[in-house]
Amino acid sequence: MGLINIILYLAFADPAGVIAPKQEDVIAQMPQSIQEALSKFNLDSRTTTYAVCPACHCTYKPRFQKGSLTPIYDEICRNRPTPESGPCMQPLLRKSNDRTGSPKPIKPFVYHHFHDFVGNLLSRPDLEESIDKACDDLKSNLGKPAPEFVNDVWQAEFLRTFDGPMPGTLFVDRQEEGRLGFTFNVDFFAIEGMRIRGAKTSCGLISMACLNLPYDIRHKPENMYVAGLIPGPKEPGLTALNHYLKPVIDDLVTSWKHGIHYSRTALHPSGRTIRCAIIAAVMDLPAARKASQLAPVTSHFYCSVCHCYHLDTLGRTDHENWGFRDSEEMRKHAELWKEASTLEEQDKIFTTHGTRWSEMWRLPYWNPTRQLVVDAMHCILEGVAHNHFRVVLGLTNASAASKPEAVRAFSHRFTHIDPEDFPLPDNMSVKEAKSLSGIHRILMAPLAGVGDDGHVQDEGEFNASVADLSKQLLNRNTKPLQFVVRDVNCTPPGPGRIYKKDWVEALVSWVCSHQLQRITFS
Amino acid sequence: MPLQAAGDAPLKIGTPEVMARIRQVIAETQVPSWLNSIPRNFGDAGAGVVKADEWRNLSTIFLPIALISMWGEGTQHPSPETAAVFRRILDHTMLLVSAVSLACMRIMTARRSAAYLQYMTQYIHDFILIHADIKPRPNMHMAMHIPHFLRLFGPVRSWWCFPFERLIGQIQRLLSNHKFGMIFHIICNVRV
Repeated sequence: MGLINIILYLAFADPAGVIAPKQEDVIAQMPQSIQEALSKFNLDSRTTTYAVCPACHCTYKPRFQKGSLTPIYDEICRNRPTPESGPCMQPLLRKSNDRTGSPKPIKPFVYHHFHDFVGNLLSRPDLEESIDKACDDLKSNLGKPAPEFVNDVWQAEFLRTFDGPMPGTLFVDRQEEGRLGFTFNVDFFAIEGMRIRGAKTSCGLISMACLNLPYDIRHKPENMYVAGLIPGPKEPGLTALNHYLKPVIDDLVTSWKHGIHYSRTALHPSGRTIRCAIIAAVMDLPAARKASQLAPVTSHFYCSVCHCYHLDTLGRTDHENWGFRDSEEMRKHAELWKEASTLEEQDKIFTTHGTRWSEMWRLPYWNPTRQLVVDAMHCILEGVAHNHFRVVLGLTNASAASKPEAVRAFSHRFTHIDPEDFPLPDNMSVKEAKSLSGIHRILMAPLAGVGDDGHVQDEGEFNASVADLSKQLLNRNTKPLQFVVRDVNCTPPGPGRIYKKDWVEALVSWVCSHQLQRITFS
Repeated sequence: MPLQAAGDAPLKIGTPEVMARIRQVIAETQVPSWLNSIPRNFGDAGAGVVKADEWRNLSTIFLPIALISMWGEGTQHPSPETAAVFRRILDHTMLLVSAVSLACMRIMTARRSAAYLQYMTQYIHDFILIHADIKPRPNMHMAMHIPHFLRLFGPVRSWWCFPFERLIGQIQRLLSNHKFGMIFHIICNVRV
């Protein structure tokens, strides 16, 4: 940009180096950065900066006085995070030290307007043509049987059967309107990179990709929509993500129910109406459950698709007997949760049905059993394959170099944690997660003084080895010990504070009962 | 029969020899230039986190070659029993390899998705028998639902996270002054 200015200066200047005022004015108007250039041509995207409550994540839209560009925000947060709690009352604004001096949000959330992005797509003739072509191609193929070889979403079952906003017509039956289908993604990532002890900070990204575009340009960064970055440094917990989804869902609801009329597009100079829908929500498992507000994958409601319940049934393979969850039921429970007047009532709904209120339910067509897809990349490649080769087969140098395990007295299905899988449960450090397998080994080592018949033969030797076991366990950190205790289901009894000693005692008695019990059965 | 019967010393699967063989296969296999490379020091802590795309190439190309040459037919083992045990682990691993390659296909058919389901079912079924001391993961259950979505949406490449992760990668690479909160303004101005 600076170079253009120099060239202009050289072209305008007379031999003495003097420029006419008019030409000086031209040079002064040249944009100095790419942002400035985009804004001069009105090509930058339109955004709204929301003020976010630092405590409860509630988002507040600014108001504008007539003729003024200075946003006016609420000063304190009046959101009630739970039905029984009072208003949050956190201050939202801080003094700014810029020229205007108007207060700025402490935590800003910049939302890119969805309709503006769609308008951008429609202003390119090639894109507008392919957007309509995708719908028309599918519509003309509807009479024929479903293709055997499926190349793309547009030949598969969902879009062939997806009902549109007008009752009785399909989504792709667009008539004079434009219909756009999107994949929707929310993901959390570490903005400051990964540290050895895990992610230090976590931000979220809400983004969408338009399925109408041909596959080769669909996922180019300039064709993807970024709704906003969820500010960190901590991930919003429980239902707080809803506040960030609200602006984009608001736009999607309007787009579906009423349609958005664009006064001019590349191929329709007299304007046209566009309706958009989320076809599939593509996310990794933690983000998927957070966005849809279904129970997390580590809970007994581990599946968002079928009725399988309770973690003990994870290894089930009788898929013929699995029924799909009923989306209408789920919607009903989510609404009950939202309308519940006490926290207790909400918790009861959540523990019995595994659903909370999510903004996604505001989309009339939202059906998590069909549209909340299981992401193959995370589930198969980073999930099952990673687990199989690293944890089960132990194909790492550290595991290959380790000593062969000692003789075990019994075997037990412990939960194994890969120390490189962030976030680690219970806020364990990498070192603590690594120590889990050591604890498992100590627990499975045979106790001395126990005879083959399952009785204690040498009391003194047995007691000494039990004492040795507790001593070894006491040398370990508390967090992994707690994790193992919970894993084997033997929480130490008694009210009041539980000390490390108690966790160790619980484990020792579990080991004793196991080693003696095993023998009584054999 | 579980591999690690109570009272016996458990069998070590990933030995240094297996690791050396895998690294040799990664270094010596000729692959097309469009295939992303795999760290040659695979398994080392220094190789960093193995990415999803690397897992796809490892589990469909390099690991089958390496593991079949270590445990498959005609390999030498101390006793016929150990040979049988390793063969069993290999067959079980190959179920997963088949499932992964089927799931990542660019063209989906009803038969492919049915075959995937069959392999995945068998994999989980045998997992519980063979690796008796490891709990099945929720991911294994969710992997059983992939055929449902293959039917609804076709090949995975239009509905997996790779493009979105790439977008995140671009944002992570943006230069920033490490002042928290500023990046939102920057991204607001740069059209990503």
